[in-house]
Amino acid sequence: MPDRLVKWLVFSVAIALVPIGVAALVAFVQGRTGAYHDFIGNGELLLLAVGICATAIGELIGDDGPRESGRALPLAVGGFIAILMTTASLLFATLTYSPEAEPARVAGTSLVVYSSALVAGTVAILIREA
Amino acid sequence: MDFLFSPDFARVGTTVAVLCAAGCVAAAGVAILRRKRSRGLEIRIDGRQVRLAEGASDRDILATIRRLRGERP
Repeated sequence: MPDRLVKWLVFSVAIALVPIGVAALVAFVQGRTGAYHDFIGNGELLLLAVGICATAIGELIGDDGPRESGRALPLAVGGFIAILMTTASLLFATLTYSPEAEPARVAGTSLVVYSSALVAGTVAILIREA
Repeated sequence: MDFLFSPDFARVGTTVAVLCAAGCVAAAGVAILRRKRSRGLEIRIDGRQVRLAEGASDRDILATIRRLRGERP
């Protein structure tokens, strides 16, 4: 596995999830057995998804010199990630402040968006590495 | 504006996000396939080089080496 990908997965993805993990741990220690949407029902993962997208775009923009893959691929992937980041931001703004939004629905939506951002970010890092 | 705060927008947003991720994977897949297609055998002798297409026969390779060395074919 490329070094850059490992570094990104550890420092930009895993460590960013620590606050949610600590919240779950504290709830467990206190004996509160809640559902998963108690911890991510406020759109926390949408914020993390935007962070992942921003890092990925930064990796694609911070490019030095021509590569074997050319310019079209980073541009296409960067465009998809920009759309994904905008969508995540809009969802965070609308879902978390909507009075009708149920935590379970917010959690489900943010999980899907976060997973998509993770996949797109991995592709961006691998392109940078290529 | 009402659409933004409706459950429909959450569904549309989720679909857009999944499609974007799929687009990224597809773009990377196409790039990998194109790179594989452009692979071949590069022969370099005394600063002169020739790239043969993948699947070149032994006879072609030997002929190319002789030509690069300046020998008779």
